[in-house]
Amino acid sequence: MTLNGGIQEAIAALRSNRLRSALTAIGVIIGVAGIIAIAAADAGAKQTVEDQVAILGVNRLSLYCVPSSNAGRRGPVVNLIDDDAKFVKDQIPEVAAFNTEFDSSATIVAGDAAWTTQVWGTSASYALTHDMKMKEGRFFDEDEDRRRAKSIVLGATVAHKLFGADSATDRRVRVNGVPMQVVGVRQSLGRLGGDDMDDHVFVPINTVRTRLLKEPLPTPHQVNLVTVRVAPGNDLNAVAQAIGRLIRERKHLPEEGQEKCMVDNPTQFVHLMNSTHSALTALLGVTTIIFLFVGGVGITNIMLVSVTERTREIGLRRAVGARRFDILAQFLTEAVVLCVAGGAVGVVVGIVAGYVIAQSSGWRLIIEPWAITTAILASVSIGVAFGYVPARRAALLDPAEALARD
Amino acid sequence: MSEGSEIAPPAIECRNLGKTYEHGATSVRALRNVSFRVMPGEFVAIMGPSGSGKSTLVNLLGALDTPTLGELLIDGESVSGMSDDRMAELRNRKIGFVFQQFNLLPRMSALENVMLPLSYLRHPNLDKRERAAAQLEAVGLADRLHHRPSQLSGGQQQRVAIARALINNPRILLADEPTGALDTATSHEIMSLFSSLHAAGNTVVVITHEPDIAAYAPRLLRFRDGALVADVQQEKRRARVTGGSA
Repeated sequence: MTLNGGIQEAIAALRSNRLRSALTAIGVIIGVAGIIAIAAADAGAKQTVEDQVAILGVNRLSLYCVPSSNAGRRGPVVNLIDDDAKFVKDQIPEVAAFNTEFDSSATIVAGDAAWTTQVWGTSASYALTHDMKMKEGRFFDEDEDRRRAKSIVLGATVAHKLFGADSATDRRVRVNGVPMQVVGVRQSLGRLGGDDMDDHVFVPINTVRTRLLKEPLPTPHQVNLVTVRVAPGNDLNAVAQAIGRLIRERKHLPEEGQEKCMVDNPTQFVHLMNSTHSALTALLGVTTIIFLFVGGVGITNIMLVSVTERTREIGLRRAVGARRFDILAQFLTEAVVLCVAGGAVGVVVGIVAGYVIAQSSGWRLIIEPWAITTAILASVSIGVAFGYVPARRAALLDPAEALARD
Repeated sequence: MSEGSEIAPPAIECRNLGKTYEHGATSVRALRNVSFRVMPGEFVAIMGPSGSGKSTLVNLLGALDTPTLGELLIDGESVSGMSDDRMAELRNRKIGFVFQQFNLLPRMSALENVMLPLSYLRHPNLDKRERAAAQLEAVGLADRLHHRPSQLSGGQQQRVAIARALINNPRILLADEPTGALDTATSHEIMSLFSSLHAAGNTVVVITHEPDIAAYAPRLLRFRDGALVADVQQEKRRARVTGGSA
């Protein structure tokens, strides 16, 4: 019998008992759907982590202080100032660049449009420490910062809210009532884990501290956050510890453990998330294998029933010239066709499931060709492995006895 | 199909054939010391009550089983010691089976059922469909090619089975109680078909326990308790339609 003819006969045999075939294939459908969904979720999550690392930056550290005591007793107020950042840069040679930041929020008005957003007051070096790419215009420079210029750079979302598709550069806006000129728009970063990464504006830090706050700061050169860019090839954690020690000494703070000032390596968090995710993927992978195994056992079971029911057919086929191998091949083909059909349905279900997971988790949906290939190969293997026992039983039936069976 | 040539070997030759079944400690001698020949073009009826060894003989003549004693030659080929695959090939090329229960595959059309033996033929593909259609036409079912067995009467189903048995031009047409599931009128139609196939040169062996049916064959072999007890030439009665004593 030709392979093609054999497959057609197998399809006809399976179609003659549709409901049973469908129920038998459910285990394989779920197992294969699992492979596809897990692979998609895994690839999507990995890509998301890579995106996050790209946005957070691989060589950056954040230095910030908790404003007051949080251990129940009131300690001295610790504030970072511009000079602390300069001191860190001067004392630690691994620090290639830094920028200071003082953040606030404001309502920005342009004509009839208004939008309330975060105002990131930064030094001009932000563009350097964060590899900033501009959609249009430019970032403000050190001179503008020094002279407290009323220059503003918009995030893509803000630009869109205020000006739609029009160019925002050189347009005038009012920030908490203060007139300012848009000098540029930052290139969009998109969304990260469901958060809009473009809903903010940049204003020179000195402008924020002196023009946008309702009350003057008690410490005029106060800073919320210092971002440090470490020269490539250095151990980020070692540099983070050195910076922590230096600031504690300078601010006369207690030893480690009672942290008032902290140095974060933002990518660490991402890697932690990644490892948690890998463990979860492994667990789901094991579950999927169990499903495939159970599905396979179901196929063995139903095929055994089918062989018993079709004993006379087997006897007849043997009588008209089928060899044992022909019978073995016939039932193996049925098992494989059933598994591959189940696998194909499973691929579709898996892609849909992957899409739902991606939508609900904010990950990207990535269906890798290898996942589909693996799923189909797994289906074929299950068909062969779990169809073999019943197929062999069919092949070994004595033809005379099989024909005499009722 | 035999040309009836003088030098052609016997279609069936049994030499001291015996078959013993082992059931644990006990052994049953189902067939003992059976010797006979069937020449190409003969029409032979094999008769005997149940337990006479008929079924065992059918299995041996159909190369579905091997003898434990003696020798069986089908078209000159010895079945004893033949491998399982060789026996399958022998059945495919030289034996056409017709069964009491027709044994048609229910999900296939008449045409596909007739084509089934061709799919196990190890030859370049012939015009399977045309051959199968021609064979169905020859048994009077030209207008039933695409009917499923469930859409056919018992007699029509048996005709499909006969067409299937003839599709590979077998040396022997081996019919095991071919009328056992049919009413009297249909039984005689089917037997008339066998008679005309015999007249066309086919070797026909019909196993039956009904004297009426056996009466269609010119030669009758009677079995009792596993032994051949009579081998007689009898007057042909192919024109008979109603039953009578034999």
